[in-house]
Amino acid sequence: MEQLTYHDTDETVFFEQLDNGLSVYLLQKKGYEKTYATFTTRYGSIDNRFKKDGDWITVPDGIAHFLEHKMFESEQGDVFQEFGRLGASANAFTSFSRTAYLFSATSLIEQNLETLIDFVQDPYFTPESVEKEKGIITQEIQMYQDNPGWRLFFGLIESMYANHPVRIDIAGTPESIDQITADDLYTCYRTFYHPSNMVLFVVGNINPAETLELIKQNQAKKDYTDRPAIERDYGTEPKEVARPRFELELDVKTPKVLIGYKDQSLRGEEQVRREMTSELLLHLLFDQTSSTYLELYDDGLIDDTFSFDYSSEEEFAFATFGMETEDPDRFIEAYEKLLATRPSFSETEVVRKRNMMQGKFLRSLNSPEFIANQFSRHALAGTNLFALPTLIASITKEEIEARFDELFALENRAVSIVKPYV
Amino acid sequence: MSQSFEAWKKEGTTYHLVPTEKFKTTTVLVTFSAPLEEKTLTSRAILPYIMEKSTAAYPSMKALREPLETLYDAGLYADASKFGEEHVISFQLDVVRGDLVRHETLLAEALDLLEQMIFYPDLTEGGFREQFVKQEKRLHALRISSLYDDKMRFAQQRLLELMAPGEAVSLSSLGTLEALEEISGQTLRDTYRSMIEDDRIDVFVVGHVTRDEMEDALSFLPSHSEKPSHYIPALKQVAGVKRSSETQPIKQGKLHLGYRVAVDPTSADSIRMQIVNGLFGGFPHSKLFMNVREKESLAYYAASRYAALNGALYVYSGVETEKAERAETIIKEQLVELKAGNFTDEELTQTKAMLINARRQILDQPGQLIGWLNGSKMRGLTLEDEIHIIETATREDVIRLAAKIELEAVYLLRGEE
Repeated sequence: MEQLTYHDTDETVFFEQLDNGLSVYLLQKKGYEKTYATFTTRYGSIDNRFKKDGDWITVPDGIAHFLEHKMFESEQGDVFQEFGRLGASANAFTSFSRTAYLFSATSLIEQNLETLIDFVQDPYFTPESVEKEKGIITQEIQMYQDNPGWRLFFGLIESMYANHPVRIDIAGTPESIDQITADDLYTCYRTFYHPSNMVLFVVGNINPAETLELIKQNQAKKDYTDRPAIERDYGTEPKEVARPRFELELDVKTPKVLIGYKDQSLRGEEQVRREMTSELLLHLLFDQTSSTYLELYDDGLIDDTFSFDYSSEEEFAFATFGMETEDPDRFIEAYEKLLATRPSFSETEVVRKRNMMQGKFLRSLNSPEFIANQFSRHALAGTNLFALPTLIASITKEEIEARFDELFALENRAVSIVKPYV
Repeated sequence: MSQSFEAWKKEGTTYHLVPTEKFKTTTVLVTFSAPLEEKTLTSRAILPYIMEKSTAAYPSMKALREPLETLYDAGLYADASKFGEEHVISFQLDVVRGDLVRHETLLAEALDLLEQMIFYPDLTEGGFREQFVKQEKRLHALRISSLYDDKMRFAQQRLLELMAPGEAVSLSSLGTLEALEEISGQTLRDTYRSMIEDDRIDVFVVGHVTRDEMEDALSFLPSHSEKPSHYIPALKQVAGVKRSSETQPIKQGKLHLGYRVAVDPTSADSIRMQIVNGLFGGFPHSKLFMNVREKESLAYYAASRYAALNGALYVYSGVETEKAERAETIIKEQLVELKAGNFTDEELTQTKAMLINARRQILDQPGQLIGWLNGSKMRGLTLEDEIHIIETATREDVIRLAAKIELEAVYLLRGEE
């Protein structure tokens, strides 16, 4: 067992890769009541085309999310109930590139941990239960269809990406999930749920040595044979956006606008640096303390409904910002003008933003959920969450300025608008 | 659990302290509470939004937010909320522990900003600056109208109005567009002065600090005579079931049911009532989830929430409009089952375990700790007491308390294509 201590954050992580390929990370949080564990596979909504027995196959959209729902059904019944009996709450989520199963509990940690590992490693689907799930997931899709923010976001993603499967709604469509069969689910399961494609993270008031031993014994009981690396196909994506503008009418009172800049993603540590540099840049431009904020605020071009984000996973990356405004076109024009010329940032500003980002990161370490989810995300990409404070401190003003020039090119830009019915 | 809690009164202010080293942060919340009244609600709702944007010494958002960023993203916010029949304006500071970033005076510097925000607002024009007030009024109007876009909140608001028409408890905590019109920098100054002079003050602190350090750091708080609390409303009688529905161009309908709960919110029974709510619709193993969602596939979600202070229990569900009637029947049946004692020992044990689990987890989040301290101050019970009450509750308690739940209102937001 490897022990990694990070003085910048006052945290220690224990790591071991088991014989079957599973990466196990354990973090002891002294004084915490809760233990939180996530079991994550590098498999999300974008993994809809991959090699099976040497041949490329395409599976229905939304299947990773569908599979996540169905995993909670075991031959013995509903796994949620089993966690409930053990006093734990369980959940799961599917993102573009990951599916995570998790529980949090304050007692019976060993039993809960075994339950988590065992249910994720024991698929059980029948044609009947697959059919029944379609009704539930169709309702879930409908609920998102009524959510203006969700429609705005996917309107933008579809505009930025021509081919990459990130453009597909994570839950799929009622039509696409209707095609899913129990056999499809087994195919995806066997491809992506091998221990070598997964990370187990446990954080809480645990004894790392004992917890690792329990996990090892559990895994030793199961037959896993080595698997070749997974081959995935995300298509060929041009650098430019697919369409510059998208508009949709929905039952809203105030129009919403979201602007996206499509970025090129790098690999590993390089992408983490790019992500942090981009976040510093967006904060410098759009925070209440930026040199342009007051002017934008007085012009009604920025307010409490304004938000920005930089999203990146392997294979795709983009920056977004937007807000609710009566006049989306005025908003779009103003920001086009604003981002046409790079503002000059002062050293003082950059130092202040680095402090801010470091503080934000340290504050989020109060949350076991943040640590487990973000650490797993980094681990699956081959990077290290706890290296962030040092990394942030090393980003220079010049790097941030270079980021501005790369990111804000007009051919990288798409806009999405949701407005009231006329 | 070995966490200690301290509470004491000094010069009219009640202090609550949770001394702990386990967090990376120190959190301080100062609340100002006044009786909930329609005539002051909107003004008190917008006041914190204005106060958090500038102070006399930091006369712009930029000037105020810059030092907070330098202080490692110190959070400093003001907010307004309803708490039973009180209106609460709160100011919250949370700041990274100085030792983690080798900045020993971090907390003291951040507390100075909290003091500036509460006691030295920018009143250079004789009132709050009209320019800021005008901007905030525009934004607040947007907040009020965006309630319409969030269908779950919209339906809940309609349900509250149906249950208590014309009463302050059923008003949106944001206030009304009509009252917003009348607000100016001058009227807000009066609202502010009344808050400082008349409101009851409570202070909550979670972090690596002692009682003496805390009193010393917050010595800027005014000395008051002790103020009474008003938050506990009288229990209400149900006179027949009220119904209402509307249609909007949405895909998923919203069916909300409001029940009255004849249980004193300061009693131990109000803790036990959470077991009843848990069995009914509080968890994924609850009757509502199992029967409305899983067995009948009638809804994407169906859940219930017990609002002890309001003596009410609400059921929320997202349904296909044509299945709303069926969903309502099944929802009502689940309560009948509970009242008749038709639940297993396993369901009861599981519900108790989940509630206890949730209570223990409160200790792991500063915000939740403060929320619990605030929400439970009326009972005078410790977290351990609450856990004991839950552990020792019986099947008979559940049946006895389920009988105190009575349907008062049904609201349906219909979808149309």
